[in-house]
Amino acid sequence: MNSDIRKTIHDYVSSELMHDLPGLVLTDETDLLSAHIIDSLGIFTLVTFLEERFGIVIDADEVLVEHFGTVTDVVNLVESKLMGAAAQTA
Amino acid sequence: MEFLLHHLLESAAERRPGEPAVVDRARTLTYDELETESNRLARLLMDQGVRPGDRVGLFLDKSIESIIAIYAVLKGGGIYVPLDPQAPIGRVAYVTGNCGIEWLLTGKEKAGSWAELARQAPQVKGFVVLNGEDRFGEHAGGKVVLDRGAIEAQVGARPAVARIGFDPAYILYTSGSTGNPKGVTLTHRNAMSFVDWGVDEYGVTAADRLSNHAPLHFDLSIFDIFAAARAGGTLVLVPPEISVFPIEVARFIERSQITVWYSVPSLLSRMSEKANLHPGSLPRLRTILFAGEVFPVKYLRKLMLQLPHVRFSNLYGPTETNVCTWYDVSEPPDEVDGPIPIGRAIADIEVFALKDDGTSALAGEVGELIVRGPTVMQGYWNDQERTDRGLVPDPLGTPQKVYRTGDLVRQDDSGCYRLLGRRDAQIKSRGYRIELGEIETALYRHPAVVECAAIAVPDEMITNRLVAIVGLRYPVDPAALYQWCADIIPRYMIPETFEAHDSLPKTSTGKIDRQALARAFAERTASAAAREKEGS
Repeated sequence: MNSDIRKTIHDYVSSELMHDLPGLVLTDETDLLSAHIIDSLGIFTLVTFLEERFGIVIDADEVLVEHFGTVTDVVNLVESKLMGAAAQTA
Repeated sequence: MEFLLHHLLESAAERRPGEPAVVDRARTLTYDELETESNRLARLLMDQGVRPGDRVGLFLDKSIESIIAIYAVLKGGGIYVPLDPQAPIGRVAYVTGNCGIEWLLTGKEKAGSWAELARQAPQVKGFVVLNGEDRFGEHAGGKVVLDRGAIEAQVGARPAVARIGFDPAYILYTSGSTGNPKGVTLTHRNAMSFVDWGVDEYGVTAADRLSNHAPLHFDLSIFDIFAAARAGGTLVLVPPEISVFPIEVARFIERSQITVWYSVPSLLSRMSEKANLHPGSLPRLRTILFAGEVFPVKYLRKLMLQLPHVRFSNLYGPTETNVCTWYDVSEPPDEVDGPIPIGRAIADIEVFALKDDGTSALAGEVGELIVRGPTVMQGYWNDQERTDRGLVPDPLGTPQKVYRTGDLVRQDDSGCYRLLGRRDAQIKSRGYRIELGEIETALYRHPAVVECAAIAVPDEMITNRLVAIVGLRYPVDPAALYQWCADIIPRYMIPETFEAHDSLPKTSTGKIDRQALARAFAERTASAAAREKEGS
């Protein structure tokens, strides 16, 4: 489960948000902000993608540096959302 | 008397030496420190042969060092040229070559680009690394590299260099329709005239903390930096990564006790939607200035209702004029009234609308906005032809040259001007000014592109989205076209969507019909959205 989420997010970021950054290799710990991978438009594309792909809702007050600093941060956010949803349905 | 921009710093350093001049994250520089540091760097540049009128490039991520660099270049009598640190290297090299930059003030974070820049701009003599203690020689393609040690070896006393207010202080490069950016050359007096007005109109004092959100190659930064110095207040640099998150921006304003905020509206629009603001939020913030694009009324209204204690003011002016008109938004605007006006001329500036027949427009008539006065630029660097097209003899007969903005306006009954559109193919997106021709020139350089048109699709949040329609000799993946553009033009100019067509529609004069393409694109997107709605 974890590796699927990680791969989905990794693939999306590297294929959709890095066209103009040739030569940059994305790792799970790459700083998405200082490397200019996520900008003010990219963040909303990414949030929309995550909401649609994983069926989650990301509130405005969750769109923070701590949740979008790296691929790992994004994976953790998505996992906590999915676990929250699972706990509610259980 | 203060008649040069660095006099503002020197005077503040005498009045308020121990007070904070610049804040960048956890670092603060006092006025005395800013003065001394910039004196040292100015002396180093002079030792290296930089003479009055020489252009010096700033090639580093924005930081306290960038502000030191600006003052150092000015104190040495030079002209500072802020290079976009995120632009493709070919574009940085073009600007460096276009204005003959020999010395670059840089940061170690850009070390990987120095050799290529030096190769493409061979007149470069050297780099001064403002934030590095180590030796960086191997990065610089055989050019001189000086580091912190060389700066610290200089004395901190103010150098004496004679300049007058008519001398150029900085060059800002903006998008050019023929494929290369053009250098808007502005004098000390151009900036001073605007800064004096702004400090007076907005009552900026030593108690104020002014944000700097805009990049330094964007003219909004002129107000932030020099109004803060004029008043002896504090300049607070906004870390670029937080601008991605509206809520973090709000927290930053709160935490940094910003009192005067200045940015493009697209960020403010996102804040109105996503920052959870409400009456009582950001109590220290007293003024929000915005410029660079039209602020959608829906979001401006929302933000004004969320922050009822804040003064909102719209500043208008192409880079060539600094700011030339302003409009205070006294009440939350109503959408039925249309976009808010650009207002009236600032102090010591005359604006009027000129009709196609060469006469001045009356209230209610449409004309091109013309600007006369001390904020109007000297010209485009090293480009007399374009200068002569922009700066023309005053049609109303005064001896001064006036600037033709290319913006179509109409004066309403209250005397305020309203912006109606452009005479040409210049557009705005996220506050950036973009010539569609520059995008097309980049695409035409691709071997597969037979014909192309860049079109602007109106967008509520960012003014325009960019789409490229291309006719191709052989199939090319859109991602490859995106990548191609990324090597030539900055990210904000790269189309989001590339559509391949067999041929592009032409006007009766044989030109590609951008308008027809824009209409067709809008219809296709609208019907796709309708289909999606039906399907769901």
